[in-house]
Amino acid sequence: MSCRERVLEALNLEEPDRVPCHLILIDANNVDKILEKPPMSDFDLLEQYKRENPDNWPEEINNLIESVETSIFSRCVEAAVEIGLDCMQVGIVPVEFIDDQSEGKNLMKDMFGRIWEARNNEGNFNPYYLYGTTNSIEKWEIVKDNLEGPVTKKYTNMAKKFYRRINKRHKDKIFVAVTNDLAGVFESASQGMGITYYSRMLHKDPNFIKEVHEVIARFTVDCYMSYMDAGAELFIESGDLAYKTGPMMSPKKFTEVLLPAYRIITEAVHERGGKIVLHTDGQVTPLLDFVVNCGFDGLQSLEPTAGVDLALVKKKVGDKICLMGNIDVANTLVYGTKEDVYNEVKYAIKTAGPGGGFIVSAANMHPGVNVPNLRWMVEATKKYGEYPLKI
Amino acid sequence: MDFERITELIIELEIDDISDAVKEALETDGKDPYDVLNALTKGMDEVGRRYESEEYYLTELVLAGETMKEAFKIIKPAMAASDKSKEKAKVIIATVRGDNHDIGKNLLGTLLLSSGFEVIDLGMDIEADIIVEKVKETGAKIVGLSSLLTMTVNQITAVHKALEAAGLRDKVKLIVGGAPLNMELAKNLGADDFADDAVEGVRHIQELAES
Repeated sequence: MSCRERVLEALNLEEPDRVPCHLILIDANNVDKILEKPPMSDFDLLEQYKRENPDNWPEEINNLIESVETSIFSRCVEAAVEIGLDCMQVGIVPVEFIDDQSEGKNLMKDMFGRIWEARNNEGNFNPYYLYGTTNSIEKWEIVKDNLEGPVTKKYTNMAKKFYRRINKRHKDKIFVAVTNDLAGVFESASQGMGITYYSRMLHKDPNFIKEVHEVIARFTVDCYMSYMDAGAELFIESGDLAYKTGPMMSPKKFTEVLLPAYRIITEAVHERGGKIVLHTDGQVTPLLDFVVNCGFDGLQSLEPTAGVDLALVKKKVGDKICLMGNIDVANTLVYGTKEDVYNEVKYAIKTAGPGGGFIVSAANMHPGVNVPNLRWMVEATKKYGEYPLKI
Repeated sequence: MDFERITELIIELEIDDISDAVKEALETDGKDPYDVLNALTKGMDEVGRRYESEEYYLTELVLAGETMKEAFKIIKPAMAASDKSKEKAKVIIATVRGDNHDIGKNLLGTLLLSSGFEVIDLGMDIEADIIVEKVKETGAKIVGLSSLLTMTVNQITAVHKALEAAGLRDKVKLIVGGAPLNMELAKNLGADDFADDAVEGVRHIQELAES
């Protein structure tokens, strides 16, 4: 089977030839370890632009964002091929530099009103959320007008070119999925407003929050359709609906204010024959029915350090959605020995692999993850994941 | 304005009404600020109970915290002026160096305030040395640290060692929280205690303060 066939078979809740292996990302510092470091780092480029264009460097560098992001994600996919993954995801990160160097930080903003810091990850850009600025109805109206107008056109054009270039280069070696990581519906709304204003409006006027989610969902659909025009078939909707001990809000409230938005997205993707998976960290068990009802084909993360019990999840929804994840990034993929990694992968396959509908994947990703541990994760998947399972 | 109403406003997360209600209790009805504080605390206790029984979730907890902050803006000067004003146990809270997550830390701060602690919130992305300086300056006996990132948990050790180097470690209890942590890891990193969330954190800090 090809990587594409293997992944799609698992998403169809069937047993492929082997359990597929996926990562949501390989951080650029680790990409540099897997491949050769590029001659010029992202920060070298940024500093060069600041020197050469002291008055309009943000504009100059923002014009390059698409090619910079294409290069970053293309290298990420190349590294994924090198370590033997079946699936890697890519997606435009909709941020732009702003000329505000307060406290010496390189600040960026996005169209949802979030302010980010471009942190230096061994020379590579690492966007790090700082705070939201859409903290009034008036400010939201500006964001909304923008999302329903010029921003959509800009990003749909960008998305098409971005995916076409990357997929063309790598599609024979790996299945390239699309993500809206850092721009998912829930996180863009709650972080764009800041959790305080979001919580306040959720209590005072849930319909307002519902509308915000739906506007962002329609923007997401426009982008996803452009990716599909360029050949994309699998989407990973970035969510983060839960934290360590439970969901951010009650399943009932999620159903009221977020389910309709997610339905807009899942129905649009399904209408064109695509598949869509929700990524959310945290203790997601109380939200399993919600995830199924939203129409997602799979659920990614299943974070063990948040206490997600893979056996319980498999029992509850394993016949309805594909499960992806459960390999720990807090300890096992950072400090774990080869034996630790092998044991964790073996357990995950033994628990969620029978009958198909399971993809081995790290629960999340960060620059502290160890490259040999990623390789061991892939090796262990290939060792234990062949169907019929023998473990 | 009766105390039950003030308690109710906290429980029902009525952020737009709480300031007027507290003002009315203090200025019109001449209530003792400490009795008003008790009514607020009673409300927060119920919010905590609802959170633990999964009637309330994080967004309600955040809003309850904000409602409490509005009340504190009014009640704080009255408490300071009161002849009942007494020294409260001080707790320093901070998110460690390299980490800008603050939802859990802010919640802990508000819950501690309503439980009668004096909270010194240093903010996010805080160097170990700044924490040590603040311990020296305030004499706080408890430090609460938040680290949401695997990459920054080692900063807990940095704070532990910086306190040790300053000869303060045995005078201060260090409690930590955050997604990658558990009690075992927290202790290995040099902390004395760990809490899974802000509600549990207050309970642990109360125990640490009593010990």
